[in-house]
Amino acid sequence: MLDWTVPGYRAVRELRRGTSATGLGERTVLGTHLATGLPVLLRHLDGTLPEADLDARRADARLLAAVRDAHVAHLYEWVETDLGVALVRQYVPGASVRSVLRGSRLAPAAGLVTLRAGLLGLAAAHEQGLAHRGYKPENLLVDAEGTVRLADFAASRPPHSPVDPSATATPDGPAATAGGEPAPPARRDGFDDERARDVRAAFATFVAAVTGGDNPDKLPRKLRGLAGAAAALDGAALLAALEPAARAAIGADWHQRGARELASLVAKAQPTSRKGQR
Amino acid sequence: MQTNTELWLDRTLRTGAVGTWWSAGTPGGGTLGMLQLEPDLVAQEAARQRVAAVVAKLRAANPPGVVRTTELVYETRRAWLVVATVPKPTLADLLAGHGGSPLPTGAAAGLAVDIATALRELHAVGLTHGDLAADTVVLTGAGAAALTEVGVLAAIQDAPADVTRDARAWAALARTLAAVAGAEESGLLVAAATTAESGDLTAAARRLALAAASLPDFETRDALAASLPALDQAAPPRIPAQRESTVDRIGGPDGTVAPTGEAEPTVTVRLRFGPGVPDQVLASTSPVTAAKDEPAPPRRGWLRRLFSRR
Repeated sequence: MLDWTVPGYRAVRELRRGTSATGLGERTVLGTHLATGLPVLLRHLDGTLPEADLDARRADARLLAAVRDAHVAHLYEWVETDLGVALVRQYVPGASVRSVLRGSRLAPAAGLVTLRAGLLGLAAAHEQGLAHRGYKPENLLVDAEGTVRLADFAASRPPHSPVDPSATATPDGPAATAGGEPAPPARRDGFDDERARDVRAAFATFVAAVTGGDNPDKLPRKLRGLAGAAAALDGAALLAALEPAARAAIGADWHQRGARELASLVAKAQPTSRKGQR
Repeated sequence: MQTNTELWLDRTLRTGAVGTWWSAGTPGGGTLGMLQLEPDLVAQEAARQRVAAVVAKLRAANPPGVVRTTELVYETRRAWLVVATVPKPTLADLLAGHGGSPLPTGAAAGLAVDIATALRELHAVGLTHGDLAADTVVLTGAGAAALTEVGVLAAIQDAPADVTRDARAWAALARTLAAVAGAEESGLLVAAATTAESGDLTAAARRLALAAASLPDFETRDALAASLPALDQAAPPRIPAQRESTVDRIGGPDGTVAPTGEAEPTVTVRLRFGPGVPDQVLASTSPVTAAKDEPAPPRRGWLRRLFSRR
């Protein structure tokens, strides 16, 4: 199939090409919006999506478009054509957390900045009823000033597919049941589960970025308490615990230090970072 | 005074927001550029008069960094803007044509400074661009950037002069250039774009120029200039595939350009949320089918100049 691009945009450079989880060709292209010159990222899914999948993805696009938050890469357009589907989103010049890591670890301050931004981005999306469903370092984008944005919502697997209950279970169980209170009724579409999985993935990503593994006990001592807050799988509670822990572990200027560290990593990673932005 | 000099239309270059650019030949063997304004856009006498007023002002001021507009020509129902040089390649061509190879160091910052300087010259004489984008910036043979289509879209739309709109558009261009520049240069461009987004284009340009002066080759445009002929060869004329009204264009994309070698999709559903107005949802939930109202190209032939050069 010939490559195609969204009318009104000019393709500048292909960043990534592969096959999506559903077997469709997937291309990520850096482009410009002809009318304004704005750089954008175009994600093309080539081929025909099943109707149900298309409906769900379109619904997710509408939800994502309503998320206007500084920690989320904005969705500009959803386009369906005879050749496939494309999403046009804000281009974040810089690099993904995956690219800046390059197999090494983030300093705790930098890791905390990514966790805070990720949780704020998730909160804004959850507020609109949208789960990320694919939170990982590749989807955390850092610009030249160390600002972090969460990107590529709802791209990792078919929307609203059944959630594996074992995937959300934790040794402590969800907070709602810990105190003997009955758990709130789960939404039929599994949104509550997906929201909890997002929060868990955000914390796991943070732990992996800072420690290189999955054991929160290897975090700096004053940050280990975050694991307790994270186990509740409640993003707001984790955010509330993050600020005092960060101040205690690093100091009042933890955020500035973290952003500076990230900016410096981006500057080093930049020559190859464009391949890292998905 | 009326000169009745005749011009020969050569070939189409591109279609933009307000019409189609052509290269044209002169009786003396020279070449120049002609922009055929979209007939629907200048169907009203009032719109034609506003465009004429902008052209008159541009001719009088002749600001540096702007492709010189020599006259406005009417041929029956058509209106043509004539400029002194063939306006190609554009910055958009440069961005598209460079593919995987990086711009010469300093070139991106140099071009951004050129554009900002030209905008400031325009603003100083009471003009604004109103439609600054990668396809309204032309690269000169010396490797510098120059502006085209100055004030035309704003005149057609009867939009007020808006200096901050130019500053925001410059910031967007700077971010585009940052995306294709080297790491150090990219950081400078992003910082300058952030300053310009607050409306202070002058401060943004000054800081960028000062910071970028330390980059290798910032002042010498030789490397970029040397790459332009090949770029020109690689940028064949593009065909307009779909035009939308200028009202739609304010929030979303304008006339469509299909990159060479790519298939042209038929759009069935298009939900727009920007990026022209990032804080406003422009979504249309009704399916949109690609328009087929491609304007007929003007007849290849002779044109009569009705207005003389100053």
